[in-house]
Amino acid sequence: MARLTRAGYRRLPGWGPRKTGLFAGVGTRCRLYLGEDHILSVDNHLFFEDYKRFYFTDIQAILTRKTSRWIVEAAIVLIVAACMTGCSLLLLSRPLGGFWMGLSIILIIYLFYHLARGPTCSCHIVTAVQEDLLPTVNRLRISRKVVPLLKSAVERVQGSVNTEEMAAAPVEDGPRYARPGANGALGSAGRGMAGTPAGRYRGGAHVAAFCLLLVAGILTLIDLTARHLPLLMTLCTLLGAAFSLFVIVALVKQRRGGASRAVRSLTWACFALICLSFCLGYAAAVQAMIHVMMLRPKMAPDQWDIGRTMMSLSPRSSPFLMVSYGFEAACSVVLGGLGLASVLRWRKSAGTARSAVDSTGQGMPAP
Amino acid sequence: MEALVCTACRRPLSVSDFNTDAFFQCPSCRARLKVDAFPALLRGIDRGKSGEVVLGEEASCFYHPNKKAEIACDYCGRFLCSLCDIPLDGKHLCLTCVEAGRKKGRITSLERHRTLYDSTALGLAVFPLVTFWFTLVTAPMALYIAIRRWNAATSVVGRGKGRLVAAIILSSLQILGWATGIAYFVSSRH
Repeated sequence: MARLTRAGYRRLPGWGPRKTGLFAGVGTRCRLYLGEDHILSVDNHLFFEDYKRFYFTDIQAILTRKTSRWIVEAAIVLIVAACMTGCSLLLLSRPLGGFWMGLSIILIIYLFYHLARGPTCSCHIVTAVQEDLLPTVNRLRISRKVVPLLKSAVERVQGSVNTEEMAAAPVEDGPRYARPGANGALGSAGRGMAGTPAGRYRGGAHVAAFCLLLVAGILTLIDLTARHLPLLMTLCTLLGAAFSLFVIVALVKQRRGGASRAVRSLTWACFALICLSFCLGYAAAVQAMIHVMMLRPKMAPDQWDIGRTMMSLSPRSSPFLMVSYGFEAACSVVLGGLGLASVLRWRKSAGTARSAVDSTGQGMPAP
Repeated sequence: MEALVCTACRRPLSVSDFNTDAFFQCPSCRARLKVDAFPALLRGIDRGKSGEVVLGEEASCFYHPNKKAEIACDYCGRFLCSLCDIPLDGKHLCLTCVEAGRKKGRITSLERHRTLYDSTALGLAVFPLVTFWFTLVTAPMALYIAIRRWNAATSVVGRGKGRLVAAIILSSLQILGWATGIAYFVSSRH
């Protein structure tokens, strides 16, 4: 017999973050509880809680879907861990070798933990008016424990139905949910509209971000292949900062509607590149600090010294810088080019659809 | 019955794959899905009742004088027609009582948000320890919140006073530490 909370709820296994925005998921921990006549979903934001109740009488279905996040996350962690191990082997005799080795060991431990938790899935509760994700049921292992419990609780109230009975019932045509975006009811399909009439965003922030990325990538390539100039590096850094700003604006804009699937994916890839660049930049700063300390062992380096040394360090001065510069330049050029092409394509198709709507006065067709 | 849609591609799913206790492939996007459907899927949404017209000496609804009273509100006792009757947690309430209960937090099942004063007090007692100097301000704040909100409701799922007790002990120790430090500093100056 499971232990009940003071309010008579039974806590169900699993927990997970509810991703409701770029940073909203940070610090939000979701848990599920089984009550007498309902399921309680609790989103804990550290100092306050949000609640959502699903009554057993209203639940129409529970949908579990296997996802590939398990494989993708494992592959990314493995690649990053392999890169870090490579760096540590290249810098084995230097002090930075230990730093990279430590990071790669942490990542490998996380990889084993991630693999031990098993394949991932997503679980949705469907009622007549909404379809809501259960962030706690994010692994198949947890779904095998939780879903039968929920199923038996719902069937205790509603009874059961077999496939023949459902097949005999007439199926209604038309959209399932009348209100768009009701608790994520439309999901990705709703967000995938090529410029809804409500949102007239034309992709300005996306164009600016991809252009800046492309220019920064080309400048880094010049820096890498031709002569190293600190001024060029400073310009690249400033372009990178502006690019980061525009990517954040683009992510906010694309969340409010508009932007095709390809543009959205590429913008998220840009965000991942920013995160990776930040990590590599941090490592480069550590390297610059060591460089300054070697030059002036008796004086502690300040921020200005570190920044100046970073700008003056040639990519050819160390294998780590060579690899990271090359990787960033290649990613920037590829992502910038692809992003720009896909934004222009999306703008063209959205413009055609918008003119069709303006002429007919009807709803916007999907791309 | 409304068609269920794939959670990945939003395309309708085939009914024959439901309740089979096995994963099947979505015909559109090939995602692996398992659907556990219940009788509510066949039922659809019930239409609201409009209420019967009052005849002769029959009691009428408080809010609709021309509609026949069906039941009395369990909170305020006003007569209600079937249109005004809101069944909630086994009780029958009128709209005014539901609204008042939601605003004042008397009806727990309508609560959607709650501030956790116990976690706030504990957070104020623990997190500033990193910088130490902030505890001069935050420790009295944590102690005040813990004592002032001792009887305030915590999480809906129910939890004890452990966090409040921990906050009181920690913040008291911090205040005691500061008092000792200040007393030592003053005595050493003289």
